[in-house]
Amino acid sequence: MVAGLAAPLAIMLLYSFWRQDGPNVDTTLTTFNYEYALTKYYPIFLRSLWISGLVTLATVLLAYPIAYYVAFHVKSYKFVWLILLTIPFWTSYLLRVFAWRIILARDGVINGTLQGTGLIDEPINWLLFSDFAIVLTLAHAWAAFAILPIYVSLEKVDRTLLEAGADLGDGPVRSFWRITFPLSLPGVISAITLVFVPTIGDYVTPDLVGGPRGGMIAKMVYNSFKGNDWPLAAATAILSMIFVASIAFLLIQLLRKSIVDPLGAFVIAVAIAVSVYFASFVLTLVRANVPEGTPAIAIVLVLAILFVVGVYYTVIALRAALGRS
Amino acid sequence: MTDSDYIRIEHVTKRFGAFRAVDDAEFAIQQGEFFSLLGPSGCGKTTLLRMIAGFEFPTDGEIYIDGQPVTGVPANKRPTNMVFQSYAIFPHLNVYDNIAYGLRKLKLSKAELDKRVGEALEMIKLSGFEGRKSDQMSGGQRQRIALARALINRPKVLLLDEPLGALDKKLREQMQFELRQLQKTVGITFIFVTHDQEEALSLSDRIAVMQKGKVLQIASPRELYESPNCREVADFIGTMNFMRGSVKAIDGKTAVVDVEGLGLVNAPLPEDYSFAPIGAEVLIGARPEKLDVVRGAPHPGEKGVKGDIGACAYLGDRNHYQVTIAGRAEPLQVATEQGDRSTLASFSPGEHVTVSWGDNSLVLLPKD
Amino acid sequence: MARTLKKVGERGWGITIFAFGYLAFLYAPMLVLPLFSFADQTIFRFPIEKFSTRWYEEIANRPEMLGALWNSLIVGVIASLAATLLGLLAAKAITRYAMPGKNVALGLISMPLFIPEVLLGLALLIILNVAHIPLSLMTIAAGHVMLCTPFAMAVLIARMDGFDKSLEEASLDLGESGWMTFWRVTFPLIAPAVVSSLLLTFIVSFDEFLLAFFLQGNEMTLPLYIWGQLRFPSNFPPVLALGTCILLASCILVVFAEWLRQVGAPKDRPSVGVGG
Repeated sequence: MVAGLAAPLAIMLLYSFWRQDGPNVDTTLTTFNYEYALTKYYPIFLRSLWISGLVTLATVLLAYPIAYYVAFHVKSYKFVWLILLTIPFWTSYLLRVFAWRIILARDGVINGTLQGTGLIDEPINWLLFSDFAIVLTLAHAWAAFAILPIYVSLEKVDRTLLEAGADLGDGPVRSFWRITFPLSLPGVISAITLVFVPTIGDYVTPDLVGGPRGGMIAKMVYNSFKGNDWPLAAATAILSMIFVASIAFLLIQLLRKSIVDPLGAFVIAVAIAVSVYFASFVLTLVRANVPEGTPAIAIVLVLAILFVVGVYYTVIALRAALGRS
Repeated sequence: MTDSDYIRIEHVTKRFGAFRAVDDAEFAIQQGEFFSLLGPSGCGKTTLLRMIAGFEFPTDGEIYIDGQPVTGVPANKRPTNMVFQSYAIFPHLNVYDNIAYGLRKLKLSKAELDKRVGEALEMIKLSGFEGRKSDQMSGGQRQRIALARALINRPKVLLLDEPLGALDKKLREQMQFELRQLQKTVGITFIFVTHDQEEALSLSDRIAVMQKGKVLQIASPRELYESPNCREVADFIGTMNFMRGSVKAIDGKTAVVDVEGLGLVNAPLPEDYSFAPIGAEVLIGARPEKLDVVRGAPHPGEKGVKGDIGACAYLGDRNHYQVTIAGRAEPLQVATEQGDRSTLASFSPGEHVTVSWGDNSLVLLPKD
Repeated sequence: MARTLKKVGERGWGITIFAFGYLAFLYAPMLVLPLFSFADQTIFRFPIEKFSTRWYEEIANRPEMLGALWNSLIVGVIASLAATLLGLLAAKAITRYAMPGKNVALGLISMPLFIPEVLLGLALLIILNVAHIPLSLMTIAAGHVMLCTPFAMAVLIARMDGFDKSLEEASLDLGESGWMTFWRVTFPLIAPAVVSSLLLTFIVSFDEFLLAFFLQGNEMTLPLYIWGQLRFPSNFPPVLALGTCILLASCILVVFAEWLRQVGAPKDRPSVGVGG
């Protein structure tokens, strides 16, 4: 089993250092594919990061209240609620995405209803074939992956802690922010991990509801594969894997930390998100001004430095704001 | 080691990494004996039991059962059976199938199987419960099923891993009694692991006291209580006052020791008193109930020391006093019986009294 | 506590409304499909003029679709059996033996959960190409086994961790060999988890598109067929009809699997479905 997984990846790694030469593959080792993929595709990496970030944010924000509701308000039908919330996840993904197409189309359910009732005259165009459609569809598709871990962590919150909070004079809102929320953060961070990692690599949704420019990482890998340049496809795939794996690694580290120090982990998570967007913003600013022929590695290095600096200062700023040293 | 040794533990050591769970254990158990391994949790008693059962294997040393070396033999090939702490009653099987579990290999006829299970159920007074599932049984009943399931295989040794720990106090006392009766009836060697010293004292023929992987003392309950061989054993079994002193003279079977606060006392010499040459620092131990509190002079033939009553505690059948004496930082613990009418005396805090003791109530111990 | 509970209860309306709204969001797409499968029209637009079961009758006339369904069933059965068997071995190795490199192995086996499917697909395709193995339903099944094993493992490890290990020791102690112990004690105790693992891995495989997309030979699975038909809306209504049937079947399967998990789970611990 382990070998069955390791071998394909090893061969793909080897492939990525070869070069497609017409119908043949030149087996001299070269980093050409990596340089090419980095310079050509980095906007897609950033775009994937941005979309997946939005998806994760939307999914977790929507999932938290539901998980809270089931954990604290549902008394006797928890099991039924949990099944109800999981069922959609297990039904055909393609058909669900297709259903969203029916709902969101220009002449679809939403536009039809709105026009029928006279609320709008012209159909809303941005519903389908847009980033909005991608975010909505993915937030729907991965809901269960966010709800369940948050629910588990909320369910674990010792109810006597809330009684103690009330006893010490906290109202429900304060005791939520001071007790329940920090204790549920491990669940929130594992939800972030479980939603972010698969959605950034999703192929079907961006392709079906994202429109012509909706492609994300998977589309990019698939395109180079379809262009019959397997070494380039392999290099792109490995870059994506490193990209996704390092994000997953970061998130898992955060998860570990959040069990010991929930708020600290939260601060770091926010800092990373802020820095990613800061770095990509800087990148779009300088992109036009980068001289021709600058090696891709230089751009990556600059971005990495910006990122690390960004994280460092955001953490310091947030900690100061929260009054922690 | 003699030929009559039924189970021999020879220099058995078990290491988990750098940690020595069992450190050079060396002793023998006789056939038909009720032998207990007693110690606080983490002392290695369960590891030692599991090595006898064949669930763990010693890092060093040999284990013999009935003359056969069994060190590398797995659990399913050993003539031992075990009663687990959690009882490990198979939840998917009923009482009958649980008890008959180990008999499958014997390929008995249905009638023979029924007979043996019936006997076993009768032994544990659960006849008629054959069809019940384990979750319909109470803690005490599960414990008995576990016993029957192990004993039906007629093992050479029955191993019991804190089998009474999960029961409430009343039930535990009753089960202790039944366990002892059962062991006498079947005549099988029992090795019993417990952290409960009272349980060990009331059940066992002999007890091995363990601490931090080492076997400290192996003796009968009376001997352990009356003449512990070190401070740890004395401390673990019951309570004891410890007083520092130095040996002044050896006189026949007693040692003359100069003890802080008490002055010169005569303590009986233990079997091995090599730790106490003249001039050596030693400990003198005295059980609270071997001391007495009196007004005025000590009991005839006993020695005494003046002190002041500190805290008192009324325990129903006993009174506990803490008596502060000069020359000693810690107060002496003294327990007096309540029921004895002749000394029906109670004392109040601050009262000036005499603590009285006889020489034979003192124990000479090595200084740590 | 009474105070807190009361206040939360008083303020519970907002969150209750949200909860039901969220359920509506979750189920809206799942209701749209059956609705249009009964609509006597080939464009997916309101209002629906006339309802009929025409598309359900049409299913029988699509041999290609039924062929794809059959292929998906075959692949699903093979993948779920193999993944559950591998998951069982892995779960036993991980929960019962102290072996070196355990975490590394565990990490590698769980990797398909953490790397995008497109990469797994490409990697498998490259190695199949290098090894000159022709693409077929079996290559799809092989890919699905890799994808499904972590799911099977998660379900089985949870169950094997959940029961008292001294039960297995008791069996050994009573003279049974390791294999007979597995058969007489371990397997009956984890049977509900095995069944739910089979069901869940079957559903994952049955629904999987991207790996199949990379690893397909001449024969299609159902998701591949659906993908192909998406471009032709007029051909799509019978797909919706079949999809509705499958939707119903998978709902029943999921409820059954979850129910099994609840029945099989140790009584004193809370337990939930995927990802928990």
